[in-house]
Amino acid sequence: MKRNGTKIIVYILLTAISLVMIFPFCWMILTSLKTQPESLLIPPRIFPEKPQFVNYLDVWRQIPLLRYFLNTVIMTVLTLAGVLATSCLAAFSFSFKNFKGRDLTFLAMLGMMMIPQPVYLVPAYVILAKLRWLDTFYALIVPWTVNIFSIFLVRQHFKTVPWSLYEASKMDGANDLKFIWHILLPISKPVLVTISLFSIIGSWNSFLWPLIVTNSENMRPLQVGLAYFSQEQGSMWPLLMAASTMIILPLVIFYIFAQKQINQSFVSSGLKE
Amino acid sequence: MNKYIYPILTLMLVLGGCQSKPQDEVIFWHVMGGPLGKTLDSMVADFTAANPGQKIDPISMGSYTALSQKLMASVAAGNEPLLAQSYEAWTSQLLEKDAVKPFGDYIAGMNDTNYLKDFFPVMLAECSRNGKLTSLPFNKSVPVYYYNKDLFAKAGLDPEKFPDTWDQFVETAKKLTLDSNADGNPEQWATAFPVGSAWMFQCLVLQNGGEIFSSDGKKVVFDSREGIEALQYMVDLIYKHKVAFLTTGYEHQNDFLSGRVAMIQSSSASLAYMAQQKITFNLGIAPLPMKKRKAVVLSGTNIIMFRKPQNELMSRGWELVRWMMEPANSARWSAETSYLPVRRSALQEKSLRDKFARYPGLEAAYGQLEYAYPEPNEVIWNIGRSIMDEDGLQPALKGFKTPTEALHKAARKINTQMGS
Repeated sequence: MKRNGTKIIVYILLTAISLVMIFPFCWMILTSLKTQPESLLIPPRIFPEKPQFVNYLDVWRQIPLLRYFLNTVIMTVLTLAGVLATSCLAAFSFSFKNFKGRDLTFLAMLGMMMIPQPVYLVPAYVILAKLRWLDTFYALIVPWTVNIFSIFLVRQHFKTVPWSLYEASKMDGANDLKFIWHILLPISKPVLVTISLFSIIGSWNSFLWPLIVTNSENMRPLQVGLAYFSQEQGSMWPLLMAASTMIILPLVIFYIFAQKQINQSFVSSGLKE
Repeated sequence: MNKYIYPILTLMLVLGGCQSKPQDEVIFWHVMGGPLGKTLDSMVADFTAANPGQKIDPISMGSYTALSQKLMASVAAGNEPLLAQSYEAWTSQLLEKDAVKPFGDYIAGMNDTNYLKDFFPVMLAECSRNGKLTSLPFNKSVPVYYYNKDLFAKAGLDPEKFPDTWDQFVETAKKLTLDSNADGNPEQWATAFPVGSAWMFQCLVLQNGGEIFSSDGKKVVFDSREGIEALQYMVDLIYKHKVAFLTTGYEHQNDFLSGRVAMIQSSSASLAYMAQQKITFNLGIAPLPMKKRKAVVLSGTNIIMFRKPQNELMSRGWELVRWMMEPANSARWSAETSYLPVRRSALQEKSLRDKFARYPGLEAAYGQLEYAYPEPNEVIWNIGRSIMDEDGLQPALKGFKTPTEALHKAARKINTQMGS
């Protein structure tokens, strides 16, 4: 009986928290179905009088959503691939390899995280211009394929992997790449999922950088499309929300399918000494 | 893993293949999104139709932040556009790098001494340095009051008469704030303004006889007695008279449109946004009230042209800008976007006459141009304006500091950075 009581309390709490989490989502979808005046009513009207599905059509008509979507997907996937590759290799060197100045290099890299974007923006732009990379996918992807924070996270995790594991696989004749691929990565899933999520969210939401390094309309990502509905003097809330709903949808679908893996990878922790 | 590497590399090579374009077209970096961008594109199309052989490429930069960073970066990289929208404080910075070709050179070459006489003097003053015209006005606006005539009538006020002075404004505001159940939480407010109200404050300072910069431009003086009184006036509207509340961003416009707030100060260009909504009441538009003098601050960007090795390209850029400023085109730009026309004769064009007929009060509000002041163009204003806002206005408006304390602190901070 006592156990049931706790259970009920836990469930009530969980329900309350989920409601709080889900509310902005519902509000977004409800607003996307309202007319502009309806969306501004005070006190707010929760359900639209007559759902305006036409808002979704208007978004399609007003911006090249598919092109933006494609650009964002390309950017997100390739950046993710780059981040995973560079983070794992760098973290491996910083944790399993002994070379002169290793810790100093690592510290220097961490120090670079302190530099704010406006400081490196102009030099980065100049470099991209010299490489003739402006207005190409290179400019959107390559500078983000190395992420210091991800290297740091992965390295911290690799540090917890017992050295004996490395030695044992060496004894069995595995080279470094084989060790990383067959032994290290499978037990590092949680941290890999974490940095992947950071990378995906970062690419999906990037706005200022793409604007600065691209010129043509067909190189722009989704967030730029959103800005179309937020004008200088006010926002078209229903259209903005309709566009947001469509933009978020792929991520939600992705999460539903990957949910099991993501949750699992957070739960299962590898072998520790 | 190896089997994925080649497809990825190939893909990247293909994607990278979409390469740059030749530099023989007039590239114009702007920030006109949404319907504003559509108007710009269609005007550019009309210009190209009338001038075959001209190739114009207007490119939207999406946000002012992106544009400003990109302008500075592109000058460093040597791939700047030909034309761009620019705030005068940015232009000052670009002039220091000698990156800007002044339009004055072309106007001097026209041998038409009357050409500039038709332009609004305040716009030319803002675009000039030491008597030389560097930029030309583009998307300009002045602040105006939008008010709900129905709520005026309900409160027993004359809906055709908007208050002329600060004192009248306070009196009117008291009548427009309704709290029927006296719970201290009015269901109708007289006015509202955002926490970041730098523009409003600047207008008030000038109306009260003060200035933002000293006459030599070497230091800010908005913390003078006149400036402190101006901020005190805003603070009093909130805490003493209890007729106003603080919002953020452009929320006050939405509160106004929903009928919860009776009058708001906003940009003349906001009319474009409001006109897209269904306004359910009679909309009034009026000039700002005055204190010691009538004054407003002009806002919005101007067009600049970058120096290019080819003279021919620059003169084509000038052709476009000149065409945009022809009376009929300036009037069309104004009628469709709600930005201001750049010259007096444009006010007589049919497109604007029609608009004035549709929005009574708009013409009088545009009349503020005759006594408007330019936005400061000192380089420090790039950051100074936000220091004034964050250290000077916000602490006082939120009630953490007195206006005197906050403004002195902000002014000291800016003056230290200017080295005076």
